[in-house]
Amino acid sequence: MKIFSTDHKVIGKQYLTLAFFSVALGIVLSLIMRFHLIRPDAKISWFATLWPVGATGGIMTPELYLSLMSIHGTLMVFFVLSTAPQGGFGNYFLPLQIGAPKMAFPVLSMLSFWTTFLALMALLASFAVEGGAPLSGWTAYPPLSALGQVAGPGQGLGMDCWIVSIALFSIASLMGAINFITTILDMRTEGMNLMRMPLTCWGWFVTAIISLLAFGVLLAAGILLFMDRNLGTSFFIPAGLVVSDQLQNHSGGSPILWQHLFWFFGHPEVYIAILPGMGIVSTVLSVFARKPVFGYRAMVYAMFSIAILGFFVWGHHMFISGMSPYSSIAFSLITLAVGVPSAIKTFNWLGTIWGGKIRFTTSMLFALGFVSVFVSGGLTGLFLGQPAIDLYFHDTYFVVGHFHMIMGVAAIFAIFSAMYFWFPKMYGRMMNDNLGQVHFYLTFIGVYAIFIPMHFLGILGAPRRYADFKELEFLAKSGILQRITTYSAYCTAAAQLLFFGSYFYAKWRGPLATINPWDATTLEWTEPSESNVVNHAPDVYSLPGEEKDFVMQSDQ
Amino acid sequence: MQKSKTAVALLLIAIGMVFASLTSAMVVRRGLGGDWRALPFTALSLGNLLILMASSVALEFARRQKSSGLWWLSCCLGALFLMMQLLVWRDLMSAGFNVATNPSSSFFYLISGLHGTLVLGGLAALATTRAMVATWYWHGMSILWMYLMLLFQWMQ
Repeated sequence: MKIFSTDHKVIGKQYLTLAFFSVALGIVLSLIMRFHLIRPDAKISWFATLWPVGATGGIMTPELYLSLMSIHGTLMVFFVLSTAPQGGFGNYFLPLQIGAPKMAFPVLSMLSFWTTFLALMALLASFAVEGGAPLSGWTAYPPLSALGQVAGPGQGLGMDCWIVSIALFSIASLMGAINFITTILDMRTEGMNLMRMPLTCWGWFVTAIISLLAFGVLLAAGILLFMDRNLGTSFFIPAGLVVSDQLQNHSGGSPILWQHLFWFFGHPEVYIAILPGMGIVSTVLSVFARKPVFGYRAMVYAMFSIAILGFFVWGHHMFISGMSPYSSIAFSLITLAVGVPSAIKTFNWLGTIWGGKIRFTTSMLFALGFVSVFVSGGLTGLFLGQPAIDLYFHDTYFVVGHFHMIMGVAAIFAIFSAMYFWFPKMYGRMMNDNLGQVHFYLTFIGVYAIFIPMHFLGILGAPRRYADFKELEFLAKSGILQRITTYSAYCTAAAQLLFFGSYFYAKWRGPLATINPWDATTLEWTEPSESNVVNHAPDVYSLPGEEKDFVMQSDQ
Repeated sequence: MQKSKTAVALLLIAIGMVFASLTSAMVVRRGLGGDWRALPFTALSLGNLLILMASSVALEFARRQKSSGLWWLSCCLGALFLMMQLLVWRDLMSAGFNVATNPSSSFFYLISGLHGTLVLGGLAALATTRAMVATWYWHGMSILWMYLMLLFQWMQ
């Protein structure tokens, strides 16, 4: 296998490997943070070995906690949720599903993967540079992110590493987006008109369009921030700012300007993470319910509605930043309007499985789990989307619980569903279904046990990003919630070892798979030698009077 | 090739989004307070805009008449544009406007620098291919600079 391969399957696997590495590291970071939250005074000798400055004597400083949190967020949002479903499964399966021999620009695919790889290296390098990793979270709010070392240990070179990483990631995503859109528009096989594409392809298509429009904004914002830090400009830094008792030599900028630019990217980014998952789940539910997707066209239009609305809701991240109440109301209404296409999708998922002959494979369970956490996470969005309620909930654990459910866990469930579904195609072997079922139930119960208590903490007023709550009198009795969250996180993380074990065992020792183990209809399950002329919709199941309960897209 | 046409159209959209966000940042930053200072633009920058537009026109004729000479003329005009941009920068610096002097000059150096980099990429493309999509990209850069000059005038 060539390292700098231009084969879309190899590139897909490279993306998935990168995402697996990132998610493993991200989970380890979150476990360390969760441990610190329930035992803030613990002396851990290997903390001191790893971070001699951040954890002198083994006791974690608040700055170290913030840097772990920043890298956790950046890894998970960019290198896992934006990478695995789109770069990983997208590169691997998009050409197969539309009957294209390869992506439109194989060299561009290769470049976009390796640029993503460089971006990850730049991010990880921040741990090694003087001062360590940045403290500003994945949102990197100025002014503290724009000032350099004076704003904290990780705000020096570590923050520059972060900006370089994000800029590279943006460029890689733009290359990927151009490649995906071109492939879908120009490389479909005969008979594969747009409305015969599996919904997975629609998910990748809409996601690529969002990426194309959103990542340029992040790139521009990143360059401005870099200039403020290194060239002495004042885009985001106000005049007369005193940080660490030092007057900063800048004038007239506005940190709010960054928030506008960042969230204009940042909100569509949420949909970049979730839309490929929606496509995967739609397909998987249909396959294992042995029924066509309920309301295929409505699903496509709903994806586009979510994408379009997603560009007009960024202000709901900034209700508390000082905004005209009229703007707040406008942003709030558009935000709540996103609930309409989301509800259409949920309704259609339920319609798809309604009355189906459901096969409860692991992949199906994760798809159903996706619908569950998507609804649970979406409902709390209705609270946060309203300015008056958000003023209270802003920057509390309620928000942390909300976005982990709707963006993090939902997208991860879709990734698991896709992994269990496509594993036989990718490796020619089957994963163990019993192990998978155990993995699913532990994970499903685990994520609720982690994130539901966070909502209660938020209602109590626990602020996010705090390294410990010892000083906060009003949270004195909430220790039990923190402990439930932490112990659930330990157990859920341990359950993932089951997945990794099962994955590697199946890859090398699993029973051999047949060509089409799930009786699915889409083109990736055809014999490689068959001609790929498409004659049918992607989801023809259970035709009355037929012996075989499915018709493949390439069948006569 | 249909797919390279699609790709270049998409590339221009992506580039457009970068400059759209810089435009909005500029409008917001200028509206923040009284520290915005007008840049001393000379006839040089206007003349330079005309050079880039002339380059685009030459390229369009080169494409239609399949004329190699006009194609190279267009490239030379493009290279001239880049050199003249450096002269514009030198003039601004001698007038006391450096990158950090004022947000107006910060934005100008950033935006003209980004645009110049993209034009340099376009020159490399024109030198290596005669594909129609290269001319699309080149026209895109000309139109972009026309828009940016209008923006700078408006932002004075």
